[in-house]
Amino acid sequence: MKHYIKTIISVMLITLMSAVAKADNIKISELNWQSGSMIAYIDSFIIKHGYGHDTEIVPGGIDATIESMLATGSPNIVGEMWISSLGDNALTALDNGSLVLAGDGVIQGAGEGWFIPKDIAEKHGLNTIEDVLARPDLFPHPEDSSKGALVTCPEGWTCKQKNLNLFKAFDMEAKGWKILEPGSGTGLNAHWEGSVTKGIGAFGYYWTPTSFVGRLNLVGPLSSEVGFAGEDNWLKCISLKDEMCDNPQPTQWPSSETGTIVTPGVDQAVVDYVSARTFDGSIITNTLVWIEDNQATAEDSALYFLNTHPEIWTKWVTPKAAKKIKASLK
Amino acid sequence: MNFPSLDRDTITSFKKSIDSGFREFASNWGEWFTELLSPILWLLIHFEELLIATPWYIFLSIVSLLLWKATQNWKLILGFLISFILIGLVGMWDDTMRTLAIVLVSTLVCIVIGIPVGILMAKNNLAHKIILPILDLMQTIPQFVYLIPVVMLFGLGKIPGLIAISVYAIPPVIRFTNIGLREVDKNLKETAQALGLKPLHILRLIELSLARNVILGGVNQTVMMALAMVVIASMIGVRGLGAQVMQSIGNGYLGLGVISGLSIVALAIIMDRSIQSYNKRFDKWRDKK
Repeated sequence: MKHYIKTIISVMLITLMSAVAKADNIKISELNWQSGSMIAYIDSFIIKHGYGHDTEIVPGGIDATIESMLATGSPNIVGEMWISSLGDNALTALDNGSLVLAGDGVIQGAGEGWFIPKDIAEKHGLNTIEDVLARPDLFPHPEDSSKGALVTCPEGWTCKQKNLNLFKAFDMEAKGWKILEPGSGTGLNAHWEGSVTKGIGAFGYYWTPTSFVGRLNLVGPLSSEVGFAGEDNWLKCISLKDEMCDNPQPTQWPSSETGTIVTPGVDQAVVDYVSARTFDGSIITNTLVWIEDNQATAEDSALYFLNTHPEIWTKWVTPKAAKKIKASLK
Repeated sequence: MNFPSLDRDTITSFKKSIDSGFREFASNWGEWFTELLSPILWLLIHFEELLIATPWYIFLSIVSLLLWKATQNWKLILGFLISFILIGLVGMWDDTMRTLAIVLVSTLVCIVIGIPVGILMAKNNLAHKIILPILDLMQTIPQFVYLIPVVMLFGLGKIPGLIAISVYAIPPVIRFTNIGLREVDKNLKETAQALGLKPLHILRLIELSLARNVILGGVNQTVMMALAMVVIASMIGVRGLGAQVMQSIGNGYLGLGVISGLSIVALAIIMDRSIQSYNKRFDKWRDKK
């Protein structure tokens, strides 16, 4: 009889252990851009060393990752998901609970919009779009120096229309501004790079977080005194072709929400951690610049971040986990 | 087995030193270069404004008249009128004027720089040896390699566009001037010398006028290459037909692509035939004499 009980208990234990081991292995999606991939490695390190789960990194793009999470429940965590790029089935899944949105501000101040070089912003006290629009003389147009230049998006990018409509909405022509078309992504980058190198004012479109914004020290997306003037104005006018947008209202660019999505059933402690995990946009950009300077891998950059910014990540985790992570960083 | 390349750090630091070296150059000299080329920018802006402001019927009459004086070829003039009226009808008039302006000014720059360089090459074998590989480089280096530094130096728009076009389009003028001068009969030059003509006179009266046909062939090539570059130039903010082509590519507008592309072709054919026809007429006239 004793013999039987022993067998039963050991069988139960083995089953239980294997079940635990299975749930224990947390798969983390590595998105295929610089910051997405860095956040995956940060998550992996913290979850592994702070919370004692085995982790596995699964590379993939947005769509493939979401489809796979819906169909197979794996990967379990996707760190930097841009909410605006989610498809309908992902949104329904978030509604009915088959996926969970844990934290919706992974990167603060991420998004597209209008930028200016930091030194010019500080020297002349330019903080908002309105401040900049009052000083076209600081941003001379190369072909007509009496006008200020607004650098728009290249042809064929969806942001082109938004720039043109906002130009009208802010009545920029009357304020002494003129459109400067970059022609292509290459032209856009070279224009920013050249202007900053030569110390000339430049004002216009870019997006963050990017190492480019960090390296050139650009500030933005600039906010507006009128704030964000509503979804209706943005979606039904500013984002459309200019002939379909008769009465555009001035507005700042909407910030892009980035969230962390997890599959149900992940350890609650881990969910608490990813919900608390928010980065300031500038921290991400600085780390991206470091990646570029050192030609580093995503894993290197995660370790670099954990080593240089303990004041940030210790707030995300329990004190006990923080101690363990610190110990394994050494 | 892999090629024993330098280690990654050395290559990276080499590339980075090119980057930072150029940035420093741009920050020290960018303004100075922009200032230096401001007369050309002025010419470009005002020539474009003039072409756009000229009413279409006046533009058509003046160009027809010029073509008649130069070629006396009524078929050519008819072709010019029909194609430009079609261009106007499909709404490409202003963009065609913009493209015409930058192509003509670029060609002018190419001629002003190219012919003296060609003469230098023909007269001096050392210069010939040095310049020839540079011309090869200018014609084969992928344009994107120099588009970025040019924009960093000069900003977006017409001037970097003009430089990108000229770098690509100047070699034919130089090559053809060189060849044309080298082909002039040596006996003629000696005769002229014996008659007591000074070298500059020989160059102007005998060599350049005998090489004129060949040089014009080079100019023709330059115009064609400048037109071929307008699409690339639109990638750094040059407006005109090239920008329309870019827009159609970027948005997948097939119709716009066909219209703007054909407008470039029409412009090219008209310019090519005009120069050829002028050249032929000049030939006939000389033969008769």
